[in-house]
Amino acid sequence: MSTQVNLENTQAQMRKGILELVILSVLARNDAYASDIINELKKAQLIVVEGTLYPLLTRLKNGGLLTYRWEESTLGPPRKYYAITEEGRQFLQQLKKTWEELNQAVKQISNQQ
Amino acid sequence: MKKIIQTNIGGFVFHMDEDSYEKLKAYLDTLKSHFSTEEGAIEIMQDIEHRIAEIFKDTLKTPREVVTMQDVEVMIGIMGQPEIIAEENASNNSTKQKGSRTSSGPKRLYRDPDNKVLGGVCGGLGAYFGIDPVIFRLIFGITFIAWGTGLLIYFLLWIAMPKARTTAEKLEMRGEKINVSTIEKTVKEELEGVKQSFQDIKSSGTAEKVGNAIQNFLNALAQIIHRLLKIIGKFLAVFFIIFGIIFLSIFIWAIIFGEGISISLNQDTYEIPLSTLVNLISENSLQTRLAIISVLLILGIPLIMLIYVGIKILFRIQHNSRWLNYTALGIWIFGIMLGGYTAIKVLSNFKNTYSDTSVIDISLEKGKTLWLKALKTNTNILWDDFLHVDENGKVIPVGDVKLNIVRNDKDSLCRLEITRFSRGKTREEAGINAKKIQYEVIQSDSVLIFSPILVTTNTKKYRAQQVKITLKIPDQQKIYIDESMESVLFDIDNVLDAWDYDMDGHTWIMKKNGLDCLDCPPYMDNRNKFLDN
Repeated sequence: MSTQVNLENTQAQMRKGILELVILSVLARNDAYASDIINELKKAQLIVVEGTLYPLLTRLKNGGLLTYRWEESTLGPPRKYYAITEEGRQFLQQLKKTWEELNQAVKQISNQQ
Repeated sequence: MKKIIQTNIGGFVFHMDEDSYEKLKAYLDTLKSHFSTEEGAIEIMQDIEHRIAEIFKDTLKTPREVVTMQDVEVMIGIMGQPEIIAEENASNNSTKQKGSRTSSGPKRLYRDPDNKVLGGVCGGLGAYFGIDPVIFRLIFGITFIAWGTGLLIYFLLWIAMPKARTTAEKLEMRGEKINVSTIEKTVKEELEGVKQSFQDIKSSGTAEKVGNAIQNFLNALAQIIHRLLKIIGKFLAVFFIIFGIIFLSIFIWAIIFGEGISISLNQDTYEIPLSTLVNLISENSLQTRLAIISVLLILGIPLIMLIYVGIKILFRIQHNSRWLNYTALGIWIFGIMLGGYTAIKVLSNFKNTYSDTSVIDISLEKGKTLWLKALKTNTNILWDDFLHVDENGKVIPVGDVKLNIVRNDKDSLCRLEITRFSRGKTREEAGINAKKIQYEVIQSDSVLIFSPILVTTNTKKYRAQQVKITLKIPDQQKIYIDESMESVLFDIDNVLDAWDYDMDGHTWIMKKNGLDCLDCPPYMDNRNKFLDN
């Protein structure tokens, strides 16, 4: 299966590749609940289903790129409120740089045609 | 009417109906098994549960409202099917190897809608055992033709196995491969759990607070019992299935396709179809058929349900088919009613009795001893004195022959009174049956030769036919009862009060006070033996 070229699959791969970049970008602006991040990513059509985000957040947190604190909620039990760490900001800078380079490279190559 | 389950999702209490609860549980289990290899799995699951609670809270108008199937489906739509989550996650997580996507969670038996010829049963079995479904198809195919049992079990599985509709279910269907080592692992885990519970008991013993200790002890005990029951349940399930299949096969074989029951007599084995036996007591072939159908239903339905329950326990199928239960119960009750009706019909064939007596005088030289002898039959006893098998292996209904010897107080002749008894639906029928009894006593000089059984002519029916013979002999008449007579003698009064089975092989004489023995040993005398009682 993996050897076959599949448009949907390739698109999904590309989106997934930048997911970490986007999550960190959202948190770089201000701290947020998981549902806030999801809403933004959904609006930008970067994710289709929410279930994929939770493992990603946990992984980023375990990697020390972001942290969370428990915020009291009026609706029920406390919720996780995510924030980016200093390490996360550096990671984001590098990702952004790579993204710009990639963008540049793609443009350059496709314009040559 | 639906059962409502109260459950805690991410710290909120929700009321769910049974199917939506099952669905949610399956969904979470699949996700859990998928993330199980990952660091922080518990945390991820907590986050997801949290989000699910939020989604439910948004969709429900009041907190008391019940979460329905539709709500769960909407939630899964938002969160994503496990397959999609699994896929996205797999390529995101670089440490994870490809191909580890097959969940390591518990496996369930489903029908596979993507791999089906009839109902997807073999496809599902193939996925469950990790074997090519073709093998199951072959096995079923062969048993369809050979015994028909396969067909029945196939349909049973079809009903018992739910179809894998969602991706979660399809993932569960494939799950971890079931083989000896994984079964061993499961059993080990269960046993480990039992051990753990025992340790809990131990540590609870040293606990400071007695009340707490008792509570812990009871909890641990409950856990042990629960785990042990689970293990026992599996063994029981296997036993149910094997027992059910064996008996059902024998049953169907014996009745529908049946050359029937094998009976060994002496060195010969006879195959006797059950229908032949039932035919003996029924009125016509319709009655026979009804009787066999009701026996099939009364015994067969519980066997089928036994297999069904076994399959459900073994493969942890939670899906409940109410219509199947009611249908089975309905058919079973119908079987009982049919059986009752047929039993009454068959019994009515025995309602009336008729007897027919003929008297034969025996000419005998004065002073000569009369010898009583019995023929050897050329049939084999199949069942007491009720069914015999002739030399061709054919079943013949036979009847009892009973001989009594009394004093002739009218004249000085020896006389035989032969009474033929039979039963029948009506008195006329009973009479006809009685007249069809073939029975003769042959006299050859001073020897009377009895047949130990009666044979009926022109009827293949058993109607409790009987022949009672009374031999009347005058005073001072001597008789010798040959050893072959043992089975024919019945309740003969004599002076010694000797048992019938002791009387043969001796010479007797008729006296005023009854039959007396001329050469009997003292042990045969029972006159003073039972006075104590």
